[in-house]
Amino acid sequence: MNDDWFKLIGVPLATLAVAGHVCAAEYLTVEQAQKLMFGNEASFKQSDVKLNRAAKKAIKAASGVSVERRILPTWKVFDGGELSGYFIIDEVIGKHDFITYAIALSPVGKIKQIEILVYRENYGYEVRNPRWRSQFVGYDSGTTLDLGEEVKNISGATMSCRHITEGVNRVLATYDLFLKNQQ
Amino acid sequence: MISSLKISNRARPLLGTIVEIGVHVEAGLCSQEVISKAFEQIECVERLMSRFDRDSEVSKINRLNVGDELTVSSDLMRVLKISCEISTLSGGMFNISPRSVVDGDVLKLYGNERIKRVHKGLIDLGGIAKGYAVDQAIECLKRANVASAYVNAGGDVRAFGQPHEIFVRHPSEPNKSVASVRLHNNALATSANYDEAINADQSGMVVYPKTVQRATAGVSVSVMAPTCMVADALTKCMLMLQEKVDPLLHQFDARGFLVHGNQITSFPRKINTLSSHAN
Repeated sequence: MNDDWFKLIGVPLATLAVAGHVCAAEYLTVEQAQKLMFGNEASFKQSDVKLNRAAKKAIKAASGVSVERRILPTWKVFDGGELSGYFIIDEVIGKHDFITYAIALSPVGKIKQIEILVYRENYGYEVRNPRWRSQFVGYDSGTTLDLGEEVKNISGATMSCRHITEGVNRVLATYDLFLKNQQ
Repeated sequence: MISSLKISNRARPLLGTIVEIGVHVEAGLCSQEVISKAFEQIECVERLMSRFDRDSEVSKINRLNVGDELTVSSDLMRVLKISCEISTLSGGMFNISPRSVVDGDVLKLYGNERIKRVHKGLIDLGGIAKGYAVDQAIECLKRANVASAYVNAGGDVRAFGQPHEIFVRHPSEPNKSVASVRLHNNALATSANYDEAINADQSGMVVYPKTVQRATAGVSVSVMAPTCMVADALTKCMLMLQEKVDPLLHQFDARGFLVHGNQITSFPRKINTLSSHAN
């Protein structure tokens, strides 16, 4: 029986990443996600939620999830002059992964859609490295991340979406506390 | 021709993992609608088969008393039928009710999508539904006349059109890959009991039916098959049956490999050793 259907390799994935075969993927830019979730006609008014110490505490109390960022990038979305929802960019950092995702909320705060913008898998060292972190913080709509042109898929990955679920709960608590009664 | 195609891919949190769908389309063509439709197929399977969703068909089955009957969707019936077939052929090693203590199936399947509960025991399609969801997304992309695409649900992957290369992670050293596989109109599924440090929540843990004993940690198995549903289910059989899995692989036109330490055993059985630079 021939077994040339798979190739044995022993190359550390980290080396592959350095070589440009990155264990990370950039799926959508902020603008692409906005259009995908709300359509081409929608207009977006950036109204970030600022998170001071008291706000962080309140969100943590409501959602059980701690808040590290000082700003939650948020856009109010209008279509034909009417508020058609909210577009929010959140990020979650797990032990092994780093995910930036967009969440679309209806005008009454119901989840419409979740799309992952950037998924990066790592095994500790990058997240602990502040320089690596800084490429994501203060991330604005004009920023594009250069993650190499070729995206390889890792089979057998423990890609957990548990952190995203936590992140979404945090976003919903933030909506309840700071966006809901603001209109 | 290949150079005129561009890849467009997206990812969403679904099926308890991150599902990535990629399509190759001619430059200038919009692929987003097609990808959204394929995601909808996955959401549909998730709604039917998640045991965490109270309204899913699986939850309805789990609320049935012994002797009760229920009409289910054709999707669920297809998954139940293949589950029963693989369960029989694997001598019960693949089992959608792994914690039940009875021998044989807890459900009896009839025509017309009718099922009857014949024994107690919770149904869990976690070992096969993810693969089925991938298959449904692929069928949707084919119907949309996409030339080439792949769907990857956290290690359950299927592709058609252009060859699609994926790496299989080392089961105890997650920053290393042990093998690469080129998919071409087929599927690959990988199951592993990763070490606790890597998989703290033990999601995707494989247990032996009845004894509910955990399969060996630090071992991963990958199975290539024509559909992702079959590949997904056969990984669990291979992890537990090891060399006795060969007839089952033949039956489903599948093959696979098991990784343990620096040894890779391919099935039908043959042993390979990773070269020293693997360390």
